[in-house]
Amino acid sequence: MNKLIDYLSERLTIVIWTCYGFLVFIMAYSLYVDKSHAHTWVEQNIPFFWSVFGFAAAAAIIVIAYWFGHSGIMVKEDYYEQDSSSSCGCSKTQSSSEHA
Amino acid sequence: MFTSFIHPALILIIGALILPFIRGPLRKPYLFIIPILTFAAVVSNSSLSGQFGTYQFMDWQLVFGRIDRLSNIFVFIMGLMAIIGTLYGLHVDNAKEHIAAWFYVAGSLGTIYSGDYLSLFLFWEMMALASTFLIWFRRGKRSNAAGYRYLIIHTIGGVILLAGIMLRYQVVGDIEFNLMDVKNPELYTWLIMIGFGLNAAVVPLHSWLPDAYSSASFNGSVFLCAFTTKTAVYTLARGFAGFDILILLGVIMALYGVIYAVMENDIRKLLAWSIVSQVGYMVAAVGIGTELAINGASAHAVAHILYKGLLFMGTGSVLYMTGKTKFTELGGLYSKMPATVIFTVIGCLSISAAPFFAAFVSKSMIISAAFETHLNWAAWLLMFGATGTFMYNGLKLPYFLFFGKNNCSRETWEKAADPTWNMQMAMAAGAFLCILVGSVPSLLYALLPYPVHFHPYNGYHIAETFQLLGFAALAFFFLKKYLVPEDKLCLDMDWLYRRGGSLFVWVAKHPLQWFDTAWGEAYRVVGLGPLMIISRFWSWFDWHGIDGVVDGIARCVRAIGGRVRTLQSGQIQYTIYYAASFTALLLIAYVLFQLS
Amino acid sequence: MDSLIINEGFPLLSFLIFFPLAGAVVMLFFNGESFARWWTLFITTITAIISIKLVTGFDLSTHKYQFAEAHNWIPQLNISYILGVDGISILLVMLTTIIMPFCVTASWKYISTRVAQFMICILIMETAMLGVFMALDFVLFYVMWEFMLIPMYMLIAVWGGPRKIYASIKFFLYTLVGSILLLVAIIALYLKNGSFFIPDMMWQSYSLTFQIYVFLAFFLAFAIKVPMFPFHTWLPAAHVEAPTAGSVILASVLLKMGTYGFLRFCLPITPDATFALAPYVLWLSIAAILYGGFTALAQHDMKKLIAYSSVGHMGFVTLGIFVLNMQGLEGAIIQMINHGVTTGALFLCVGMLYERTHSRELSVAAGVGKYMPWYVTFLAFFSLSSFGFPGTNSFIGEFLILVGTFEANIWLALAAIPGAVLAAAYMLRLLQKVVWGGTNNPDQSYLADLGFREIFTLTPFLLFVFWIGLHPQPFIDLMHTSVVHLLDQLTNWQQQQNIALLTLR
Repeated sequence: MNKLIDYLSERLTIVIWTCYGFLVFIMAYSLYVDKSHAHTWVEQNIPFFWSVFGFAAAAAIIVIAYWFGHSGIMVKEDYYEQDSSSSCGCSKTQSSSEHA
Repeated sequence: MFTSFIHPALILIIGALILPFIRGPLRKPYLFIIPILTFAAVVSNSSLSGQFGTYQFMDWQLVFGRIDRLSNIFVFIMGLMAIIGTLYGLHVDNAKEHIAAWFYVAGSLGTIYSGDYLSLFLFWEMMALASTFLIWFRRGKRSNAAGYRYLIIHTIGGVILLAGIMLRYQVVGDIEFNLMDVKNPELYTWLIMIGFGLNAAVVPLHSWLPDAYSSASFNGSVFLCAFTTKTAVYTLARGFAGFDILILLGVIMALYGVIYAVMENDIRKLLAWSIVSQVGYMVAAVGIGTELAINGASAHAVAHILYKGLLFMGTGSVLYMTGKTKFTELGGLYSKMPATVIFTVIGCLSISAAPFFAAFVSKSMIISAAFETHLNWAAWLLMFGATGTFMYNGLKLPYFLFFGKNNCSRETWEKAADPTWNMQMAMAAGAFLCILVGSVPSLLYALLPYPVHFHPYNGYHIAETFQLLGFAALAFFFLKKYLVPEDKLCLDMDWLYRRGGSLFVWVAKHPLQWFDTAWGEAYRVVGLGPLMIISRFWSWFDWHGIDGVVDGIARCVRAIGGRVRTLQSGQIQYTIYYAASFTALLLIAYVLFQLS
Repeated sequence: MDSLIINEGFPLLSFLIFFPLAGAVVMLFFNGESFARWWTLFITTITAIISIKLVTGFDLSTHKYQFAEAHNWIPQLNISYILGVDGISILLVMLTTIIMPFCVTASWKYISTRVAQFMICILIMETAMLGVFMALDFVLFYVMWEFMLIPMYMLIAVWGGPRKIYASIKFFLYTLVGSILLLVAIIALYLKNGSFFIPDMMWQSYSLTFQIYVFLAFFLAFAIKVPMFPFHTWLPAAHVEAPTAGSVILASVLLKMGTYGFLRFCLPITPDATFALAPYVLWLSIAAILYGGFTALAQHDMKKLIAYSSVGHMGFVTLGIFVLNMQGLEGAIIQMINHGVTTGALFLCVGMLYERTHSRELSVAAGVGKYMPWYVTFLAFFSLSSFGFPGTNSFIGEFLILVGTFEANIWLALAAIPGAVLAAAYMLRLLQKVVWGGTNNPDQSYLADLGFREIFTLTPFLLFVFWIGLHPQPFIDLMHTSVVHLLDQLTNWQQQQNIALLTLR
């Protein structure tokens, strides 16, 4: 498998263009596929609906996650350790004095 | 096979208890055989239907073997996962880890088979306790703390569940575990739902899951990911099918898990958030409650166990070989662990619902069920979440772990390799099953509780999936730089009790401690002191008072005897004299008495 | 005689009574030490196994005396040899037979001098105890009652502790004084009835004064045996000085004879007196519960502590008996068994510790938990049982008794509650000191944990603690019919008396 990946990574531009081509093929296929199984009006009538949906949803998630994380949710790795160590230190001395 | 019910949990429990005595070369075959026997019991039970293993305990009828299609499918996949999980950890030498894992599975199987709340609760607690040990067996400092948090939270959940069960018994009068009256929920309905929901990691009771599952040992997580949450899904499906609030909660779970998974740096924590998200699908399906929805929830549970197990096995292999679990310390491993990469990628494709892989045939059932009941908002949001799933699990995880920038230290790079034969074999089995379920859905659909009229493979569905996946991948490649993992911790609702804990400690240390000390002093001075004084008084009284009288009498008698003894001089004339005088006195008294 | 169900086949009861005696006789001829131990173990085990047949063959639906045997003994004086068991006595018989083998195993190493004679005493005691519980003729009962005094006296006097002479003579004389009055009462009843057959003496209409005298005579004898406050002072002395097996027999079986006497004699033979004097006895029981609790709390000798706890526990039993309702009576009988099991086990534990440390002081035994984990596990469970922790046997007994007391008189129940709290206090104090001790424990590292023989001795007690505690139904079933019958007779009697009073007016 390594060989395959190395082979492909040498020919990266070809791989990328193949992928784009695949995407175009899918978009075309979606125009002609039988839409009777679709559940909603938007699926059936808007062309390339799922393509747009996929792209927009993914982009939205990436942006939301990035914003959410960088607005304060992401903190230092040892956030809880430094917090618990300060309280642990006090309680440790207290419990050791009780034992004595 | 057998016409009677064999409880597979019994096989596992007995097997676990005998395990420490099986040593040496016998151990690996034994470890392999016991889950297979368990699975065989499960399969043989599946031909039965009804209530078995009933036992009358005081006023209550305990049902240990309630078999119908819903319980059959869940025990089926649990039994299968037990085999794969044990195979994965076959080389672990510590017998206690296997014992904990088997008790854990036994608890899960027992819960699924139970037909009444009392036996359910027994096995529920067995699951909680055994799984805590699986976390502790990683033996890191963080694992200890995580294990304690896990235990406390699950104990609280167990208490809430028990309160709900007892309240319900008081109101309803029996302990049968069946569908609740979901249109008119009472307090006990909510309590039991909270109890089940905590195990299912329903938001906001979910924070324990990423915390615990990422802290467990490499093979412990494989067990953990499968059993607790899916057993809870089963109990929700059994008791709360159609309970509308679950739809909302499920959708929230699905989206919440996605956002946090995208932010996450630890590969196993990412997968844990993914569990929250995927279980959200199942919970929402349970909330919808139609036959298609319950079928979808069951099918998705099976698929999820398979591919999540596979993913945890893959990432567990990385942990086992390199000791690292963070994207920022890994990357570019494809060349050193090719087999692991293949298996993990199969798992990633399965969770993303790619055609011919597992979730393709199950997630769509849930979405269809949502559309069919005109809950379009839920369906659209779940599809939104599905895109996210593909994004973090199908793209981010393999890309930043195996391909992409190589953040490995030299030591990590040296250690990276494909893991032991049993681990690879377990992964191969999981991968095979993922592809099998995805490609031949009729095998899975045959096990589902309700009749299936759903056909996942049609041109439209495939087109929809390829569009979704393809363009999501496009977005991923354009916006890759916003997804680069950072070595940070993501705060979640557990901040409340972890940080809030230190406030609690301050209150305990200062005002409460003062009060407690004062009270203790009062107890000692006013209570204990006088109590002991009274006790010593009565003890003194007993010895000197009562016994004084008794011994005093005895001493008196002896003294009298001593005096009287001296009268006995042995000379017969004195004896005759005393005897004659005494007789004379008696005669005189008698005569006088007769005369008067 | 119609209250007897005669046993036509193998005379099970006589066999149980005389088999240990036969075993003792054999040991007169072969008195090697090792032989004595194994032979006694064999005899007592056989007796225990055969006594199980009593339970399996017991008819739960009748209140009559089963497995009965009736023969003429001294026809001129109307003395017969009549044996029988009913629901009330069968549990006590089983308690006796099952405890004896464990008394033997507990004395294995403890008794090192005159072993054969010790075992002979034990076997004679078993004969006498079984005889007391099974006898249905008053003379037979009295003979057996007195019969067990001598071996017990010797047990304490020969193999006892430092003050054994004092303790043994005190025990003997104390009990004898009570028994003298018992004899007077028996003869008075014989003169009234013309025979010594006990069931025929029940539910007769004696005059109230006669009943009160007889009741008081019985009461003194049995109250000393129970022991009730204030006639209990022989107990701490006897228990402290007796060897382990002696303490176990004393606590487990001998004390039950007193309460058995209340149930078998005082209630049915003198019911008017019972009703009249019950309130006094009840408050006396409360006094015993509280007094036992306080004095136990002040002890620092472990055996004395458990002895005083017995006073408290038996106070609960007499409380249950004299509230005269279903729960009280059933609770009392169960509690008799429970006390036998638990206190017997506690004395065994203290004996095992004594064998190692040669002291009964709490301060010497402080902190053994670190070196004897098996031991403290057993001790912990028995201590929990002693103060009636839920899940253990004493909880069932105390709970039933308290329910019965509550029904009779709320103030009584409220007064009994502090006794339960005191029980917890002194037991936990004992447990805490023994298991953990304090900061200046003596060096206990020389202690060896329990051996196989000792674990084997203690395990069945633990088994019964949890069996009765979690599944008491079979035990209650055994006694239920007889208790129902007794209560029915009592209520009928009460109603008859009320009717008689009404018609007199």
